Amino acid sequence: MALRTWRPALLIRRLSYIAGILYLVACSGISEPAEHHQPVEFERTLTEVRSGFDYQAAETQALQQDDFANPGLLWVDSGRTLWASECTACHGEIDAMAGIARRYPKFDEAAARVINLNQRIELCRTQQAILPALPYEAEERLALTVALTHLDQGQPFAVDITGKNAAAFHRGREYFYTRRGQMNLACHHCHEVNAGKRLRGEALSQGQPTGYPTYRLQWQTLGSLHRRLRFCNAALRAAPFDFGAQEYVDLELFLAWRAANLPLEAPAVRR
Amino acid sequence: MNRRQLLVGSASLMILTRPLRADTEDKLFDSWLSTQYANQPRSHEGVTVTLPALAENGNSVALTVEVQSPMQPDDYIQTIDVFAPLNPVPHLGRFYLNPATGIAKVSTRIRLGGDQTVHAVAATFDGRLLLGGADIVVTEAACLDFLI
Amino acid sequence: MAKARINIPRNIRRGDLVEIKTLITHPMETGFRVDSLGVKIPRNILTQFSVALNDTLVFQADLQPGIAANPFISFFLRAEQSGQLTFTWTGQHGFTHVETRAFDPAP
Repeated sequence: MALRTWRPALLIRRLSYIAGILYLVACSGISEPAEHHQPVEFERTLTEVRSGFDYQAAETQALQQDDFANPGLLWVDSGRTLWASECTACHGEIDAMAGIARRYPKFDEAAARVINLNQRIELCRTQQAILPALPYEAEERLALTVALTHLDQGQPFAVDITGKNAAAFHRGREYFYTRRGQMNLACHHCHEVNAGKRLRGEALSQGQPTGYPTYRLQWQTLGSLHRRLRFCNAALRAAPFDFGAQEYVDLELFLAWRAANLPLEAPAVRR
Repeated sequence: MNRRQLLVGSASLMILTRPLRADTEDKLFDSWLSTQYANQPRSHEGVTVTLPALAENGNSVALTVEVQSPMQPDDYIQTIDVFAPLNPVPHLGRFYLNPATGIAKVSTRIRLGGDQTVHAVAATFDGRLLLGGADIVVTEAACLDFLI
Repeated sequence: MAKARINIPRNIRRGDLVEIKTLITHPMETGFRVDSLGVKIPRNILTQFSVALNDTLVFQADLQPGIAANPFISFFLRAEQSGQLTFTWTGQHGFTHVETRAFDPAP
């Protein structure tokens, strides 16, 4: 088609098509920053939330509820002692920190990303108290984490999935529903579709995080949710992420939202 | 299968296989007993071993041993031994008591490497042995776990 | 740094049979576990737990690998004397931990 034969009407029609497309793009908000979105109501796929406590044997439940003999309480004692020597200068008494643990994971300005309580404590330890760095699963980090989480026993999670936490929440939710590993299963398959049914002689729980850090009889010690998630990955023959990996923290945020009104029960005792 | 069915099934299986398993277990226990306590007089009265019938995980099982005894200077229990024949180290521990103890009752948490009868042997101050035991089914045995 | 918990009931009177509960952090490593590389983790257990009232031994336990990790041990004591209870845990590799508590039954 030679340039000489272009007609003004054709040009106007083409320009209006382009304008229309641009208008639709503008209306869909693709170009807008995420924070200005209204929070979307996510469908809760569990009709009833049940704690991992419900899937334990009576003796295990009794041990968790024993105010003296619950082995996890040894770490709570440790954490409180550590707090008294390392943290009171800035934060005062540990009991004044009630209500803090249930809000994690959340976006942290200093870390510039969503982090969990264990990681926030480590930031404080290394950058404020100027103590030597410790690995994620170190006794001191677990002790401080469980000591703070124990203050919120009986309260549900109070996590925010909007604003700066939204992207992490989306990623965590995506993780939960994504198949992985040689067994090609998503968290959803065991912990929602088949929750309550038995796998290798044990009942599948809903995978609720309300008991963490938890004393697992299998580990014979207190451990973090990340340790449990690594085990879940390995069980599917998927390569586990490192302790403290962002994938696990994002998933933690989603799991905390998914737990709805389930009360925190750290330190729990699980098989 | 619910827990009750599992328990009944396991208990039935234990009863059926008891002649085979018990043979090994009894031999192990008897030989240990003879080594420790030679020919001291034995009786099967007064010892209560409290264990759950079914342990979900063998890593931490609550155990209580109680022995009937006045616990007076002229009649008291001196030691209580706990023995799990099918554990890699069958002797779990020994508790030393005296009249000041008041009541011959101890509690602890033990590891179990499989279904078995856990024995308690109480020795009186004058060398008599009182024996007791309890059967237990262990779903996930201790002593063979993995580190993740 | 080991952490121990000790429970002595309150408001005890002379002649009472008092149950004393104890709990301590310790892995009680059996020596049968293997790590992810297949290497056996060496045995590391508590070997003895003893309790003295003033200077008299009132209770002792010899422990073996079959005692669960973070050992819970409870025993009884007839409340006759007052004084100080000393709880001593000893284990392999020079492990030792001592706690003291007052023992004061009302007359």
